[in-house]
Amino acid sequence: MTRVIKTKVEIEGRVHEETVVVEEEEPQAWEEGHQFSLVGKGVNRVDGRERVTGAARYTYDVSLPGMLSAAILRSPHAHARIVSIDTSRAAKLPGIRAIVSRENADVDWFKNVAKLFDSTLRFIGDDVAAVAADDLDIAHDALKLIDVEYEVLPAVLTIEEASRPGAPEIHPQGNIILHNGHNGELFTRGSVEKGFKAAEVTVEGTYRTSTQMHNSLETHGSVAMWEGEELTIWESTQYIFGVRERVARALEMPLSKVRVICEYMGGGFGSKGSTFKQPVIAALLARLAKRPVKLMLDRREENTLAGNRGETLQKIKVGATRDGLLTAIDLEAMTGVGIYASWAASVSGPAQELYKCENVRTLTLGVRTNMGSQAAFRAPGYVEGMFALESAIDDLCAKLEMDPLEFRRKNHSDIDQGSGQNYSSKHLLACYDRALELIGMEAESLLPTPGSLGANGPWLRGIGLASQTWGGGGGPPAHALVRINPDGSVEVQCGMQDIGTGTKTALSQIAAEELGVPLESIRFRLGDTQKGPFGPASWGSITTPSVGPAVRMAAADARKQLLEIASYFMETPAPSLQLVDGCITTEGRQQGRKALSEILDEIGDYMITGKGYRGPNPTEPIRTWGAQIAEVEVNVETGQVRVLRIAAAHDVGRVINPKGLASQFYGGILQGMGFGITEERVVDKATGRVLNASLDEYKIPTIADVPVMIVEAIGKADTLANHIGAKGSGEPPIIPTAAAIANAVFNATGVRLKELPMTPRRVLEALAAAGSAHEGAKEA
Amino acid sequence: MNRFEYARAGSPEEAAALLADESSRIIAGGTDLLPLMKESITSPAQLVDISLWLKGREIVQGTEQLEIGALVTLSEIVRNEEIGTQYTALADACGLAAAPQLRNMGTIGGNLLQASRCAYFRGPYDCWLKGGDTCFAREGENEQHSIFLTSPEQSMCVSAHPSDPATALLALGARVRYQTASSQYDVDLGDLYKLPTEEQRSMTTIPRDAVITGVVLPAKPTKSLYRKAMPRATWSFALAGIGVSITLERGAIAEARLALGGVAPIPIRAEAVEQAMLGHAPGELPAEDLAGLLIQDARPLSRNGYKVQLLMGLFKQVLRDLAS
Repeated sequence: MTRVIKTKVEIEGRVHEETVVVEEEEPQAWEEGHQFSLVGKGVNRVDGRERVTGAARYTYDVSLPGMLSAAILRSPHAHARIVSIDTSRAAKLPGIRAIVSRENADVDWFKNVAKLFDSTLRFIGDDVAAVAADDLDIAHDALKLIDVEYEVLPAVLTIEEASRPGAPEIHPQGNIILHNGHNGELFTRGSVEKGFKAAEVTVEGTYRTSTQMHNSLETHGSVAMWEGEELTIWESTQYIFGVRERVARALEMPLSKVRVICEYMGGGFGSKGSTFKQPVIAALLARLAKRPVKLMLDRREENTLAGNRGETLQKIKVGATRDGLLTAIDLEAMTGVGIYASWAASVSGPAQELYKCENVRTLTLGVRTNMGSQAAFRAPGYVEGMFALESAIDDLCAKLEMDPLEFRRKNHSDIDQGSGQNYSSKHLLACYDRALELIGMEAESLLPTPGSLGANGPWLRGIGLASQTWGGGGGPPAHALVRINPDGSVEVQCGMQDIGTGTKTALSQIAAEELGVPLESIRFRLGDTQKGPFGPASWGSITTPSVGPAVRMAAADARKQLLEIASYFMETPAPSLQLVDGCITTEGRQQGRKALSEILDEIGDYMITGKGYRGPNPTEPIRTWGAQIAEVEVNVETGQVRVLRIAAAHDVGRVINPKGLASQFYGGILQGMGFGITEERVVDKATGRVLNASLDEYKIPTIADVPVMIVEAIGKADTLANHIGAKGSGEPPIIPTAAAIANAVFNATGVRLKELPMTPRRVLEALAAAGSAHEGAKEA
Repeated sequence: MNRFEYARAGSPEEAAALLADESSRIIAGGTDLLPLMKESITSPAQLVDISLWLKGREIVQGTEQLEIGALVTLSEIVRNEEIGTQYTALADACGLAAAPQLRNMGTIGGNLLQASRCAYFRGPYDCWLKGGDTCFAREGENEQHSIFLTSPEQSMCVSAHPSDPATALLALGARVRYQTASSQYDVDLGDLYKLPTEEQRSMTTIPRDAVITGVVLPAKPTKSLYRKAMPRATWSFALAGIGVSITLERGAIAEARLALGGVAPIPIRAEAVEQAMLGHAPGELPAEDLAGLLIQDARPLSRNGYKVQLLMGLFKQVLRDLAS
């Protein structure tokens, strides 16, 4: 019977209530100790062959008969108004098939703020006009022939400047994102005034992190094709249903007439969770030209306008008793959201949740600037917030002369301090212990004793610890279908997408496990809004815990139907029948074993269809936990930081595919390392132009920078969270890395780096400042 | 990228003749030229491909010198045993430059003539080096720019020279051969570079219609090496690069050449330090004093003061490695 109930779902640090349609009873949980044949076994990607041979079709690879190439004219000014725009010269260029601009496309985009092609341009890269041409060179030539007169307006480029009273207003809704009518989001628990009064030791600091850019290997982009009034979009996206909704809304079309396809995609890391303008612009051009249109961003566009992790400025103060009990945490954080983002990253999440502390106050300000908008970037806010919090805690430990691990044990919270409830599961203490075992060093050496780990010439060695907390419980809605064909082959359908994380593989394992068929007989179909029921966005580390249970339930439903059919032909009650390895057997007997295809053959062309959905969440909060320890070398003469080893232990529930999990951990650690030591967007302060938008200028870690990574999931099933016992693992591994590296740098040098990334400039400046402070102290 | 004609030249003479057309440019590996064209920093009407000139791909060992053809790639230099043992600084520099794919394509001739990496030069800015009025980096983002020769009287442009091999070759006392339609030239590598002037907004002295044909290394030094500081482990231009070569007599340094890259608009020699190194055994050089001498003329910009410290640190590394 269909019922509707409400349940809480956490995504990227924010909890919201979701309405869920409940149908059949969900399966019994796979309890800890359950005997699996496939789940928990490391398997290769089911689509690995397609990916490495080039057979996999990414959006970039889509090529249709008659397809045109499109390019966009972008604002050269950080803030300007279009006085006039004249596309007539461009239109005369041979090979130009369509042009769209504010003159012929009046489409709402950012509600009450800006149209698709607005007359006010608010950052370098804002869309002015677009052309479709026979090839990309012609399209680019045409852009140069569009005559635009701009009236340049005052621009604000930094969060400090934008948040200052009297700063030029750059956005109709103000320079700071409002929360319940106030500037920023205030959180309080207890009283920090009281907490600091009780504190015997306090530490404070101002921390900064730089803007990090996603740099997915495949840039954002779309191919649009009209067939009559029906529109098909191929899009490099983390959310095909999200693109469908956004495109349909922009073009005022019914959802049923928009189809979105993303079979394979080359990375998103959060930046492709929301829908950018490309699919709509491509659709408009395709409609005008009456031909399919491809519109892919180039690397500079990608790094100018397709999202980023905004810079932060965090003022944090923590207090504790002499014996190391936290009494207060106070954090004021500003985070840059660029111009159009309407949300602030959860920079304050770690301060609110990680430690047991009665008195916490956080204020989070999302600040707008005339720069490209932020987009979610792998654990948005938590990566930045964890750096400031864990640095401050490390300072506090140094001041208390307390081992950082002992401090963490002392200030561990067994319960969720917001709700007073138990967590669905929490194995953070086990993560600390395991990380320490994995790095193979004594707890004592975590204490900041510069140089104690030795030096190799000017290279000083140090180690540092940091923690991880994050959601990742997932939740409804998510649906799946399992269809068993007459030949015994199985198709699993879900309208979601595999963003390269191995979704197809892990979900195929779950389906095969539940059905009792070999992994090879599963064909997982996803990436098409027309082929499968609703699947969620691939964000917030929600995929496995959201879709996994739906897939399992659909498989269980299909198996049940199959065994009921088999019961008729095998003259055995269905409950005594089993499906193992693609064969139906009677429990406890070997004779009468029938292959799946034999039974299906009996019923002709009937196709068994199992249905599954993701049920509601428990009332207990679901969170992931973890710890990382970094071992680094710092060259005190040149300021270079070398990461030697990272040990990572995370509690992400039951592991479905250890191989897929390890690559999530490796990728997260490397992105965290880039955030910590090499990656930063450089902006020309006079113009607001990104100066390092290409991959040779913007320094992501190379293979030569990769440290030894020793990664492990604690792996305990969380069956309270959902019946497969898994939590998400995409974001957890990036969260503590930069913080652990920063603490290791402190451990090596005795100097606290308060600004990321820790480039040679920042390291040498910090060492020099500490040195001159030291000299000053001596003189005094 | 603009549309262009494509021509092949089988020899430097042929190439030089084709360069008579003012909007022609030589292409060999294309690792710098093509990105410049993609960004419309340069828009040649004709590309003259010299990569089929086979003699340009040879490394010829003479009795007193070694000649490297202009088309020899950086990878080929890294793999060459003679260069690795006799002219270690060059092998070091080529191995530390760029990334494997770029080293496989990039030629030594092209590397010496690569353009500035300044983001303002490479971006849509009408910068002084491109003929404009302003060096935007001087007051702007200059974290990776020059710390020497930065006063406007010395050089309006403050970008840092990007070539690792040029710095190593300067330390090795190399010569460069080039050819125009009418004649052949043989110059000190140091003379290939000059600070740009109001009239000549370029860091090189080579005529527009000339083709580099080779690099000549003189008699090998006792020891040479090149070290580089980068913002990550590889595939980065030098924050600072140091090339050094020394010749020993009875255990003491009789000749020294010390060259710096990534810290001035062109590769420069540190002659005062070279002088001060003479007479010492490599293991007994007064590192602190020499490092102080090395940076005495440094005039960093608004955001690159750290490079002074970094250069001293890198130099001490060079001295340690020279002694070992």
